[in-house]
Amino acid sequence: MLGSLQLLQPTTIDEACGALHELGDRAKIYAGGAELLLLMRHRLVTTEVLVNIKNIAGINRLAWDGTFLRAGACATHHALESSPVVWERAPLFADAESQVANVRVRNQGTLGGNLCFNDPHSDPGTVLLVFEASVRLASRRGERRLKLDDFLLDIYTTALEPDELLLEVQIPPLPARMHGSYLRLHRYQRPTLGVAAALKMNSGNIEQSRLAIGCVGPRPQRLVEIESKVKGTTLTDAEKIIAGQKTYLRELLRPVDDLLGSVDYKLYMSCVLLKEALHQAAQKSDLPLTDSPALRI
Amino acid sequence: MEEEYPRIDLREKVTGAAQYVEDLPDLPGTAYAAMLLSPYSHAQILAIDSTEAERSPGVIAVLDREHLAGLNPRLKVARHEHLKVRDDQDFIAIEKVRFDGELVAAVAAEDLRSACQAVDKIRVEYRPLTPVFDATEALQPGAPILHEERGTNLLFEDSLGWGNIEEGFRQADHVFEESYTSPSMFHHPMENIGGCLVQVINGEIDLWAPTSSPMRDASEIAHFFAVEPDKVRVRVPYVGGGFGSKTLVPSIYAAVFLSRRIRRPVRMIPSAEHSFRQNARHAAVYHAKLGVKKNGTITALDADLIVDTGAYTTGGATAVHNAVISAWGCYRIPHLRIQGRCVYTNKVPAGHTRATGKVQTTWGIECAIDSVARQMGIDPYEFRKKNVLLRDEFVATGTPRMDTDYLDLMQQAIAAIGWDGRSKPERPSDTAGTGHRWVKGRGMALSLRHGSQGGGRAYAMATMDARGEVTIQHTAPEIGQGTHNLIGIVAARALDLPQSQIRVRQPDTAVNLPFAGVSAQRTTMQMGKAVQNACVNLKRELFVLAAQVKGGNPEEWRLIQGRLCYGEVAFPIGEIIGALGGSAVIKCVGYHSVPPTHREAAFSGMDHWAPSAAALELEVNPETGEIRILRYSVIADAGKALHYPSAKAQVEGGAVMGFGHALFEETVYREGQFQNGDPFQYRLPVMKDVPEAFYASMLEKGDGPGPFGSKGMSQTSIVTVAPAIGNALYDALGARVRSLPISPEKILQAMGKI
Repeated sequence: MLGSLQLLQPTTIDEACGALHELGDRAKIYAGGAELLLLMRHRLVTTEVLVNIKNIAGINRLAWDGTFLRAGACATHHALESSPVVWERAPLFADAESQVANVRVRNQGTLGGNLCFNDPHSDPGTVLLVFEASVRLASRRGERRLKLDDFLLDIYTTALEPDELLLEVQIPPLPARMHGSYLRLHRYQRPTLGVAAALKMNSGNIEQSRLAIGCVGPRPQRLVEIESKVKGTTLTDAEKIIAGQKTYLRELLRPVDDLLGSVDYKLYMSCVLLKEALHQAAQKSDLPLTDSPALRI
Repeated sequence: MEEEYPRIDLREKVTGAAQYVEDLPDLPGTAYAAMLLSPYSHAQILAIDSTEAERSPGVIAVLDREHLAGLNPRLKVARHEHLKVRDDQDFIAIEKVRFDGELVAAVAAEDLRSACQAVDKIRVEYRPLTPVFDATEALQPGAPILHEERGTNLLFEDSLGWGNIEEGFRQADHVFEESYTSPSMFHHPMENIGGCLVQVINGEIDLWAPTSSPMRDASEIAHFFAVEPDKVRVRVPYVGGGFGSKTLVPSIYAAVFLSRRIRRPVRMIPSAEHSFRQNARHAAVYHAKLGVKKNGTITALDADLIVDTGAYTTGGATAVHNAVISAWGCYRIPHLRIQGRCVYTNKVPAGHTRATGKVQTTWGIECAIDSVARQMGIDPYEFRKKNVLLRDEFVATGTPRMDTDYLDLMQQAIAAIGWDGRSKPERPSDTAGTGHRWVKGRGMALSLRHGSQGGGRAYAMATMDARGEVTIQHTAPEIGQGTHNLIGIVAARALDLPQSQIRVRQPDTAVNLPFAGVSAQRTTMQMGKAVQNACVNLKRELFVLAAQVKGGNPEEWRLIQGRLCYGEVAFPIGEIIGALGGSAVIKCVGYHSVPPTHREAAFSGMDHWAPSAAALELEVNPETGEIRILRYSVIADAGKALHYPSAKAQVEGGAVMGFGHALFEETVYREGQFQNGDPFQYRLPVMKDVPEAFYASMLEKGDGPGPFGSKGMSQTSIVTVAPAIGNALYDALGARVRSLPISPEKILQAMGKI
């Protein structure tokens, strides 16, 4: 049973930053609570004050500004999976969002909350690494922008300072002719494994790839070494290369044995899903341009 | 006829009007209790300091080993017909804690939040000890000992045998050895375990609790608190599921203790995490050596079982006994030896779970039969047909003869999934490199449970008033399975009255009508017969009265559709009963006596067999190990279903629970702790895990010994799911998983891929 706590409900960014500045470690940001309240109930997180940022005007907005798809911190997973602008500019991201947990969690949980929590068993971070997304953070001290790769530090740890607020995620579209696929493995409530792959194919060869794996280690990771190894190869060769990357994956991802599976299982399935994701991404590259992702809504 | 009656508890449950223990209103002055459970699986308690908790706002009393007011904390283990049991558990931890979740302290306060906050202020100093979670390891020399005074973790042994095992293996042309393991799991009823409301007035303990056996509980509480049995009254509102878990657990004793101490009513509200730590299913290892002749005739079975009861005896005696007497399956085995050992480990103590001990052994014997048949190049269906016991065959000393038709059950089960029962003739070639091709496989499994063994006499009382309305009093809780509906139907049919004229009361031990409880699939048989007999007696009384009032002999009177008939003349019941004057009623008790049990015959005390057969089709992805169940059918022998929809729901519910046991459910202990003791991390089957082609049905030949040809059948369908999946998986891949649950990871391991 939760103890009593104070709830603040700022309506502006300034007000929220002011509260966080004053309270520091005594406050936790509430952006949906899908994960936070669970941990509070288990008393793994305790706090005196919750700062509900969902009432800040515009903080759940989804918009295309000509360069980035801008997703407000309090955009829910459901808003993301059902937004025409997300499907138009980043269909891979919309598809991944549609796979998050279940409809109840997607209605309640937010993108900002998800990223700031950095639960290793999570989907959005993995796919957003493939987009090379950035986050915009605000505090009394001013604003700053960080690459998502630099923001997600370690298990349940991000670069967010105690007085800082995540305002939005800036998602550049994938380069022209690059198509992606997000696959996940889930047997329990939380995913065991998430794999994002985006490919640009050129005459049957991989011209460029972006690969990421999440849920297996403390944080999602881009697989830069594999990306460079498969450059210029055929899909068949790429699959063979991936099969030989278990050591690299083990060192990069740092998986552990847990309820979701053994290290060996996770590494084996990482390779299986990676191959399958490449395969699906390549298939999309072959599709005629008229096959607009918007049709999938 | 029975379809005309809707279930009598349906409206209340669908509208939310049904009251469970948490819905009961507070009694005047009710205090709230909260529990402190051990975070360690094995530790010595060095000190408990509750000073700060006692000073916490709203706190009325603290209970821990320092605050027992002279009470002996030792709980009495339920007596067992065949095995010597010794009390080994205190309701609150004294010297040691032996599992993650053992009750260490409890607080009563003015409200629940104050109680929870005070619990946080109790300081317990532990000295952690090495825990042991695996029963086989617990038997090794040098293993940590849970109960030092015993000097061993071996709790007791049970055995069963007939013929001459050496001779059996001499007759065999082939000998096979097979091992199968089942994990500990949690019942996961929707209503948490361990909650109650209790008050003590004038020395009488009044308890409202979700339990399957109120009469037994009342007598145990009376014994524990050293009061006369009639000074304990247990009432049972609707119970939100049990599956064997709803028994007297330490938190209920703690609530009673606190209520006596503070002289106020106490309400105990367990959380889901508390619930996970109150009860469990026994983990088990099934190891069998089978001797078979060239022609496929089984000559011998030598089985060795290890049953892991967790930290205390609780249901260990029943579990090891049931495992031993079921480990041979349903086959003609001339030479048999089964030995079972019950072992302590540092897990949540295991009580009883739907088909106690038999889910584990059916998983073992049914996979072993399939495996042996295939190793001999015999189709498993043919192998089963050759060896399965047929109707009227002799089973073992002291048992009824086989009273079912397995060939019919098998035929119906396979037909229901569109299968002829033949397995794939040879193993499929190596599936590697085939990409994500899903491979199909089919398998079957049989089960045999002894029907309603033991429990002593069951009583029920029927009262008819001057309006002709009948009230049935009894002590069989409605735990979700349709008990009260069943009682209503039996009474209505026995009296030839519409069911709307029958009222079935909630269990109340004040009526003093003994019944062993709604467990061991005994209710239809034992309570059903008691109600039927009460109604038959009532009818006889009514005829005697009618003869006195209107004339004729009692034997000449008939009760037809609510009217008393003498020849061509019919009288309203009220006219006859009303003749007694005032608010007169007729009241009769009925009972059912089970055959006596004795040590010499393991099956003594049972009155029928309860079999089932299942067939299953699945597809598996050899690259990922994922399984999809495509079709499942299970046929249980119900004798005759008294309420078809309820009986069918029991078969279906058992099978769905079986899918959980087969594919997902497992309580995981690692690094000293219970790792997944909460609903978020414990994986249950959900709707999408149930195949669309799901056929649950019953064989109804009307030949059961229960009321109107019925027999016990509610625990038959749960046991066949796991072996049917294991056998179908082998059919698909040529790989066998030998431990539950069957996860994709284990399938990949069995295929040698990881």
